Amino acid sequence: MRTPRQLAIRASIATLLLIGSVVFWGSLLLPLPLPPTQPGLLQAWCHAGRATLGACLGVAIFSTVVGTALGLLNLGEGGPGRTLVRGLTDLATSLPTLVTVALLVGTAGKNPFWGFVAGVGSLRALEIAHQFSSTLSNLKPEGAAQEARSRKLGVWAYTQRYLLPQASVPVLTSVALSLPAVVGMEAWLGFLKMPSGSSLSWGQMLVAPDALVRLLGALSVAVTAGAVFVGLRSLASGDRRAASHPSREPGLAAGKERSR
Amino acid sequence: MRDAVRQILRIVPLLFVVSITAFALVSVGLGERVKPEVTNELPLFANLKPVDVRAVSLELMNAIAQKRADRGAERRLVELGSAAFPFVLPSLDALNPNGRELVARALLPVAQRMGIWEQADAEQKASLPQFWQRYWQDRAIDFRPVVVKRLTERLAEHDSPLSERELIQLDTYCLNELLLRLRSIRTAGDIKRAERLLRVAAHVADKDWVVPPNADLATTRSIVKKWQDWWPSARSRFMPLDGPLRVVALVAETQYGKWLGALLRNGMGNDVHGEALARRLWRATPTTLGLILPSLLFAHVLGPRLASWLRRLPQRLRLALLSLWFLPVALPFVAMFDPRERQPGGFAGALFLMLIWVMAPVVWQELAAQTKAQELPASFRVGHPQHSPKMLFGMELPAVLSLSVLLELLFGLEGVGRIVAEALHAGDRNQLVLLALLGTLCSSLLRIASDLAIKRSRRVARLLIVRDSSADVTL
Repeated sequence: MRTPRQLAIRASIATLLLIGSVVFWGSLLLPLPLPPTQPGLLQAWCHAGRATLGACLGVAIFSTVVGTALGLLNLGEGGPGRTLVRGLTDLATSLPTLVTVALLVGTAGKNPFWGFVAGVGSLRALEIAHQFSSTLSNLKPEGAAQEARSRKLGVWAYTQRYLLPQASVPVLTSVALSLPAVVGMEAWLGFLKMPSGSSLSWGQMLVAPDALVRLLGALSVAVTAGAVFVGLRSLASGDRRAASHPSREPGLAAGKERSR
Repeated sequence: MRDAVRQILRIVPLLFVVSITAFALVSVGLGERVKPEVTNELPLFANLKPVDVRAVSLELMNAIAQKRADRGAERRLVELGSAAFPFVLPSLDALNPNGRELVARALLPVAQRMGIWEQADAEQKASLPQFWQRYWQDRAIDFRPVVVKRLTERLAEHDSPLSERELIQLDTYCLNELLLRLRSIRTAGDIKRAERLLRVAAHVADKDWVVPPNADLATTRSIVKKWQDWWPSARSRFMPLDGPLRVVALVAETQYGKWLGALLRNGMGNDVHGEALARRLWRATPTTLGLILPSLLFAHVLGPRLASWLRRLPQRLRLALLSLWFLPVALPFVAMFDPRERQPGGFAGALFLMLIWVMAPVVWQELAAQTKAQELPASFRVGHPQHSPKMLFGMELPAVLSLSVLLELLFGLEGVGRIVAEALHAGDRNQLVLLALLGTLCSSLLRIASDLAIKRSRRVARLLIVRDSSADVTL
């Protein structure tokens, strides 16, 4: 008997795979219509989806790698790493995100896509860095160690079930938010008629003159964002056995505990 | 309190660093879209070979003498006027006769402007190089700062036709001293002084920025401001850079240096419509704050409570809500985002959308965090996340400001976001960097205030205010 949560996770992964496949193969096989109009809506949707999902993936990877590294640097109290992160944050917060990304897209010259990814990704990376370092520095090692000792957990089990789930939360939260962030930025830049990463995207569909195009864009983004979120729950639980072995305290799986 | 003072003192170097970085980012980001200005030809941050009147005049002279130049070079030499004399006239002998003749002829309009050509006789007309050589032998002694200073002082103090004529005969060589004597315009005497000095300046610089007879204070000030805005960008073309000036010019004769100089001299300057930026910001700030503050407060005060209420729903319903969280964000686009129409509703409509857009992610994150928090044993949790209005600002602010830009344009509101968007569209680099500085100043002050409040309430001191509602729990 599967729980509603497990069913939701499976459904979301299936939805993501379906959307990803349709978008990928559709954009490869169908020509690109510009501007997106109703007769060529499916082609436009596929190409736009490919651009948006590609940017989203790029932003997720970029922000995860850079954000985690900056988060580790930010852990040192009063050190140069913290000064660096603080300076970068001050700079990033000095202008509206929209303007910062528009300028970074401009600096990329002939590769606006990478400028867009770097722009959105670097701002998300800073957010990850702060949340990551905040999480790690706020952990309660004594209590957790005591708990682990009382349950006879080894170092690896302790890390896997206590440290990793908590440390991965800000990263995974940000990954889940990268799609809305990318789509929002595409929509804003499209609305202001500023160059963004690509000529057609789901974000630009959200601000298209045609109401049907906007509706399709909104539904695509809403469904994909929801599926990404629910799908990531399975990764964020830390101990995957928890899903199949429900217990009173699912944070510690009810499966076999490895004795020290 | 000591910490607060230290943090406030840190803002100054921070603003300096932000100004440099933002200037570089905006310059490179805007690329060719940067609003055209005279200073755009200068290097961005470091001018290793600052160009002064000596370099320019000798280059023009050689180009004209070797027939490498077009009419533009002759025109530029005439613009330089007598400021080029100390370098060009002594070098005439070194040119070949043909080149000497060409350069001497190119300088003829300057002689006419100075009023010394009418005095020449027909024999001098026949040999222009000799005319200039003789002129320099006779008058080189007048091309000294002390002479110019004495004459301008006299003209500034009272109406003196003789001084005026002598200054006109010194042409552009006296421009710097004339404009230095303008100073601030407050009384009727100042207006008269500006009228006399600018009459000469307008003549030698070939401009029509003169103070009309019986001009009032405002008119005079606006004309004086024109000169004071123009001169810093033109000064190096009329003056040699020697000694310390040359060292200063390494930074001052750059795009950044000119921008910083203008900022320190004139304050914020004007927006893209020519209106004083400070006045417009003052007028626009309440609208933007009216959009941002209620949204943030509602989202962070009501968000967790709404999430707590939603958490009590059955798991299936909760999962459905979590997976559809982006719908309330996306649907307003469908309903309202026809870019061909300005949306009705004005401020109320914009505020409604802002509330939804800021609230939705917060509620979603809260719901996810609280749902997962139940699954961890109590001893593994990092203390319950505390939400407080004083912890709202920080990383969220630029994103919310971006929303404000969009909504102000969509609903036709006059806010800071509109000013930012206009500056971005117009490629107004100076204004964008200035807005970045103001943004840094505001966020730094808010952060300091927030840090103080947190410390006072014996909470953990945080260097940056970030939302950490999900810091201790998994999704």
